[in-house]
Amino acid sequence: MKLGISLPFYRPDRTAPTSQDIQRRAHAVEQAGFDGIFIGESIGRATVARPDVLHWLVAAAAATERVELGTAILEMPLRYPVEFAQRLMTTYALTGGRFVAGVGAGSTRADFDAVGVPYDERFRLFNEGLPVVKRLLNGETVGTANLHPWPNVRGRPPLLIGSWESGAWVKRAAREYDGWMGSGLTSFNAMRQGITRFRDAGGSRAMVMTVGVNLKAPREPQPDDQRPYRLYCPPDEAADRLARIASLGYDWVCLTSIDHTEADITDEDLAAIRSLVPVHS
Amino acid sequence: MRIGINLPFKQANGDAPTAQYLMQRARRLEEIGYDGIWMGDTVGRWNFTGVDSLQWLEAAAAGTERIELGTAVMQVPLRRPVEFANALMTLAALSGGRFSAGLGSGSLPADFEAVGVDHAARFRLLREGAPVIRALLNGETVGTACLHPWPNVAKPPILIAAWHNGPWLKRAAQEYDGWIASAFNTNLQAFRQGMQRYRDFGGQGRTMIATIGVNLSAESKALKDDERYNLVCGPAEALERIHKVADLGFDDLLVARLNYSSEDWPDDELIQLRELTRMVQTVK
Repeated sequence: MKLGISLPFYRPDRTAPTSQDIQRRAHAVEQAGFDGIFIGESIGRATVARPDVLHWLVAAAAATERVELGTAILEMPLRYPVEFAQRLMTTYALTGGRFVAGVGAGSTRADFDAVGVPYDERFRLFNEGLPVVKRLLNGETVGTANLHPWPNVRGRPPLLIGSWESGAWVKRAAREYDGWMGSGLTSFNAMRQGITRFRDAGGSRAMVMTVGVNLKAPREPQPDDQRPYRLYCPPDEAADRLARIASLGYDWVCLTSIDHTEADITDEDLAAIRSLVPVHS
Repeated sequence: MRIGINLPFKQANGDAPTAQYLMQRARRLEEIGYDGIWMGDTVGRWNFTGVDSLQWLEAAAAGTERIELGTAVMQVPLRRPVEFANALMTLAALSGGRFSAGLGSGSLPADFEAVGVDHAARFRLLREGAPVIRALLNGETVGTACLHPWPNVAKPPILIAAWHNGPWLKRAAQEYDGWIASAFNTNLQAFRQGMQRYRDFGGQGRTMIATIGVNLSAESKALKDDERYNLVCGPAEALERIHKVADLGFDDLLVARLNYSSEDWPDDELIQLRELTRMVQTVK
């Protein structure tokens, strides 16, 4: 199982990092042996600044060579599909082909209210929009739009679907797109149900995103299998909890600090976190 | 006279630029002494690849320390203002405050048709969108939206693209931080009239001319007042033309090429252009 981690959104004093700060951390993540950097977005629900995560990934790309760089996830209905597709193509180019686009319909009403998109329209917008995005990335003309992808990026980035384990999109992720992203914010039972449905539909790449980690936290009791799955516990316990995810057959797990500051997970903590999952051979 | 320039859109072999490719170019422009890197904005307009200019500038920020970064200009109606403002705030943060946002209504219908936005509504969408973007970047709440800017991230300057004879010149003068005139289909006469109106409206912000074509190896002839403004001429004539807009009071020239690689626009012309603009002072 491969291991990814997010990047901080704030310095320890909650000011904004610069590109150089992001580059330094991304380089440290790569040096520590992680397989990827995956970042989630929110627009409107937070009471503190949240970045445009594609910009974070471009900064990370500037100082890394190997790690995958991805979103987990982007709420596609908050954008116009054509303009959104051009952005994804741009990120894929700038990352030298290391970008993996996790996209979803969104699930947080506050983000839709803030941006001014009807929350109840999210599935319709996603259902209609994502095939357009895919066709444009393939270099097809949709309406009058054609992105004319550079020859070396045509058909990319890979599109992975972030969706609930029980929805129709798990099957479409398996059959029509490049993989599925479940969320650690659901539960162990949901992760089990999701990957079962995904594999039954013939899906290949399965990832669990947004698994909170804090190895310095007081030992939380093992969460029951109905509750959000996270690693607020010492390293031995955290390694066991990750092994349970691996036992479900997931290809990737991506960790995040819940508070998103540099102090939350320091550069020095990265080695300990990396060692929670055996290195993928 | 300050000078800014856009970044390449492809590598010499036609492949997509990587962050490292753009960082190297941006670093070189900083070394040569360019004041800024400014990107235009197209979505599906041409028969070659368009890019997300904000991410292009993010790559430039990653490779540079001092050079200014800006858009000239982003078409507001093609984005949702709240989500767009979040991207602008992010670039302002990661660039360490080096970013200025040039915003406009857009003008050609092609981008609107591609994205699926009513071209006829573009002025209304800018009128509604630009104040929302400005307020959000200031940390204000609009509807239920608040970006909660990081405490060390100030609102980037907002410059408005406007025709010399249109209603947006007044708003640029009175409500925003500057005016961007476009050299696209525009001439010295229009620049003169526009600058006069901008000053009459009380405008004291930064004034720029964007989208200027350059070829200092081209044949020279004097530029008439009603001919499209450009620097497609020899160096001596280019100096004349730079003087003409400096005398009108413009602060910045933004030169641009489409669909080019770093190799297509080599150092010698870039250095020569920088030297020419250094010889000219804006008249205030």
